Amino acid sequence: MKRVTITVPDDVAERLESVENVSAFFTEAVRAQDKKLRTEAILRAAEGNVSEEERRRVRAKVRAKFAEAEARKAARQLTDAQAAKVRADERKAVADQELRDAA
Amino acid sequence: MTVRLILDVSALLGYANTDTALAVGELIREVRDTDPNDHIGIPASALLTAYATTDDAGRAALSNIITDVELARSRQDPGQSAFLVLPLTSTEVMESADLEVNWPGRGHAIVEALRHNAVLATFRPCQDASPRLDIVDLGAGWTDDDPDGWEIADHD
Repeated sequence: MKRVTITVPDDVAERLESVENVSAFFTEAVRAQDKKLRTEAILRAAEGNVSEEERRRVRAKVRAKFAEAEARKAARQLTDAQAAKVRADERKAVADQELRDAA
Repeated sequence: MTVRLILDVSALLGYANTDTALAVGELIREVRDTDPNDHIGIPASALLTAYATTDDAGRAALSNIITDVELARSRQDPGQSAFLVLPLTSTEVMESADLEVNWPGRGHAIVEALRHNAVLATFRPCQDASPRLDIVDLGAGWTDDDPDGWEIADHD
């Protein structure tokens, strides 16, 4: 661990007034930014020179494809959950009947 | 720790090729931008195959991912990398091997996608592998005059 002293703009200082653990807050922010920058550098190195127009075009297409796949997944999970509820309701009905029979 | 996207051999080879890296890269950014804590899962067996199949530039691109994962591991915090290398465990070997027979280069990736309930990114769709498999087909439909889109050469 190292102690560091930093100077921040007024708006950041104001925001920090409501933060309980400033050290943890900054550590998390720095790590998140570091991770983002490292990932970006890795991807840019693999992609080479790409025009912003081409990047936007591919991004839009990829986003649509991924959203479609995740929507399919969510729809299946919803169907599974509904089927599980039907089965649970059926088991409950049987259990309730057994309770009444036993009473 | 949520693994939201799995890359199979074809996706890794696509990433390792500058002509197709942008599609894979943008998909990775999409995962990162919607939730920075989510991971891109890389099956170890797929990584080995892609590494052995691609050229020197491709190996450098894949090495950068491995280095990033190793950095996070050295900090004892896998969450510090966007990527997670997924080992092939003894319980997954047989299932992966069986899938590999019909869908070469995708066996381990399919198993991991199902295990993590993640989307599988591939240039070689394998929807028939499981009704529970959700796929992003990176190879299809990029331009109107080229509906088949990009292709990744077979490695098998």
